[in-house]
Amino acid sequence: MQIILKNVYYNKFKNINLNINDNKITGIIGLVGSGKTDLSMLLGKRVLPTSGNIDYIPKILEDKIGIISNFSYEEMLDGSVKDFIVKKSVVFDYKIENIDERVEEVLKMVGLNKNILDKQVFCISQSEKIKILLSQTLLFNPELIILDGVIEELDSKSRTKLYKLIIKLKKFYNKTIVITSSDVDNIYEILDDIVILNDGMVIGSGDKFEIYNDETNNQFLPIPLTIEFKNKVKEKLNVNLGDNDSINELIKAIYREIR
Amino acid sequence: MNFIEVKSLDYSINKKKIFDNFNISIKKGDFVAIAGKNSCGKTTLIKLLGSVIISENKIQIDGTYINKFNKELIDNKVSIFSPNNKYFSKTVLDELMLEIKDKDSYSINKVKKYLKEFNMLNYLDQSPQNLNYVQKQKLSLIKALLKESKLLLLDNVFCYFDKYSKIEFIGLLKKYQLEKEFTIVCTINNLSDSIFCDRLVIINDGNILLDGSFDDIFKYEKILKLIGLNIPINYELLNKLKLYGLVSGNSLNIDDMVMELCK
Repeated sequence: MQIILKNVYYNKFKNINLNINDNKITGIIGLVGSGKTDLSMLLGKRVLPTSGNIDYIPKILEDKIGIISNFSYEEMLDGSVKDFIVKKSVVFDYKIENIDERVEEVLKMVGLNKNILDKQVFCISQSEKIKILLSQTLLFNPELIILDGVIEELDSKSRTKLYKLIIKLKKFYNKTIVITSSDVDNIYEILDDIVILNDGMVIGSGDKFEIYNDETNNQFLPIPLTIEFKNKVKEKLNVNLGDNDSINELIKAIYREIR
Repeated sequence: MNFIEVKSLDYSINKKKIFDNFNISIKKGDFVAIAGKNSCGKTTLIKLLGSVIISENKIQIDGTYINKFNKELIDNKVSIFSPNNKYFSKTVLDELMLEIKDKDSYSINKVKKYLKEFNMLNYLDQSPQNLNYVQKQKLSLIKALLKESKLLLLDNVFCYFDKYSKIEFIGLLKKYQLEKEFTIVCTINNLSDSIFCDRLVIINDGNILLDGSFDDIFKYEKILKLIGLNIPINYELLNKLKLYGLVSGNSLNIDDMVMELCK
């Protein structure tokens, strides 16, 4: 699903123009207070812009957009996991056919075992909590999933697991995914597109390799460590290491080109 | 005499053992980071130290044992910071005045002096809800300063900061640590946050796995990875370059690494 923002005004945002591409993982990067949460609320139709247009192609309703934020953890106070997953469909009186089958299907998508359903929500681990939150969202079969401030509280291992899951949701279930983070190094490896915010302004957006290969951009944008290293090698040694996602790929490229 | 003394602490939630004969002692004026994978008991430890959960006579803070009779005594010495601190006052000024017992013009000046130093004087009449994450944490710090706490407990506060605001906040924290002799205990997820601390403690399976300065602990990259923690990205890059015999120095600076590659 594609989203086009045209001349959007809201809170800090003044005249924002932006494209979120279909079936891509888009990262929203910005410092604290730059408007990451506001932008994800706008994209998720949870708030309306004061002026301007946000077009969804194809058109969808707001319950086809799933938002998970760091406040979602606070909703997990008591009750069983199963109650928690189906809670929203009960509260909003939203009819889902064959709900038991659907819950099982959703659990399979996030890679959880069926016997977690009887556990209590407050005594499961953090990485399971995020999977439960994802399955609660997936029950409505959303086209767009927004993760706002979710990865920060995870440790490295659970983060890697979540990244695999996100890539699976994109590849096999054709979801469009938006993730926010204040540190570009955290999420750079899984992104396709990148949107960089600075104090309510979009200072860069588009394909991540294109953005960082354009050298006029580099002075203003937060640069991931791998890219910084690559650029410096190019400057000093005149060797092009190509486009790398992770440190491992970077090391392989160095080994190949320099040795 | 240690400021915090935990001896043979056992604690379990729903029959799941969190701490099993856990011991730790922390000196006065230390800045200690506690790391471990998710749900290893970091937050529980903070709650136990801050007497939110009462453990009968197992934990000693500033010479006083935590038990149900001493709870108030401990409460006055401790401030807990968490990522979702809630403030219910109408304005920032009201929120800060809660911490002051004798309200006079002198105390208002004191509050204003702190707000000025923290770059927050413009927010005096605003609702605390309108503040961003960094400003909310600064507000907690000012509250701790006015309360004259001896022990600051930071529960996973650093993970939502960006690089610049993290340095700014830790700068303020360290400045007042020297001035007021705070003891600071923080929990972290990302090991790169520990480079500001004097001591790093890794918890696993209810006990201390590693304890020491961060430089020593980052040498155990494989053990850390096994329990679900990654070392900071520039350490990882240096270690991998060394592994392939591409560099031999110890500098973490990218420029130095590239210079060595040039040779």
